[in-house]
Amino acid sequence: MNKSEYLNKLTNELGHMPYGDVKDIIQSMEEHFDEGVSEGRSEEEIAASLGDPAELAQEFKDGAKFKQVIKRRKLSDNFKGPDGRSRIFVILFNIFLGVECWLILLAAIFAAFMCLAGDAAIIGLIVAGLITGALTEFIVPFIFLILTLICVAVFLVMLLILGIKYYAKGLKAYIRWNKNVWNYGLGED
Amino acid sequence: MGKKDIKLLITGAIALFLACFLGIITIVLFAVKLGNKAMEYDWKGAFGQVTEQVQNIGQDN
Repeated sequence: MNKSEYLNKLTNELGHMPYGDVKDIIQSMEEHFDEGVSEGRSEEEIAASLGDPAELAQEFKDGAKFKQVIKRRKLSDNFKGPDGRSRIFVILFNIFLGVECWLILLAAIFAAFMCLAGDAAIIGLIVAGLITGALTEFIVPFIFLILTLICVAVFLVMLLILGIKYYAKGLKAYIRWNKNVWNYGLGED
Repeated sequence: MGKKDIKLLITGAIALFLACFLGIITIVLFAVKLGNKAMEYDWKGAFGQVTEQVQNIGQDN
């Protein structure tokens, strides 16, 4: 397989990744091929050293960076599996910091949700009180209180929508980082 | 952060500002209402009744 064949196949395999990422990967790959050719290797040799394009694409999809992938390919002959220290790091980091931080954030989202439920319940009670005539003496302050609580509810809804969205995004990125460190170790970007 | 998120953030900020503003007005309105009620309340009568009760207890002993 020559350079263009290999890159075409890799582009097809990377199909579901964002366009910008695919462009960066292909550009880095082209540079890697050019470097190899200038060192006197053939395009076929370089393609063979990179391995199956589908496997390579899967590594990029799992979040691996170009340098990591190339380093791994260079070490492929004497690659003895992932570094044990990085796996210990992932385990200890999660036990003492990672999981706790994510749980605290989850608790904050849950607390915001409970505040919203409480807020809605208080609004309901005041409205019921006004309808039944139990709160007629303080009708104006209670109407203002309802308006205040509605504004608080809008704020909490905004907080929950953004909180849940970015929590999910952050958690996804964190899991990808863990996977990356677990498989390829620290210090490679 | 997308445009949608920024819009949501601005809505939330406006809601928070209004909540604070209306919250202060609500507190003032409650204070005025309760103040009026306190002014109308018959404190003398209420305290007089308590004083009488205490005196009665003293006499019994």
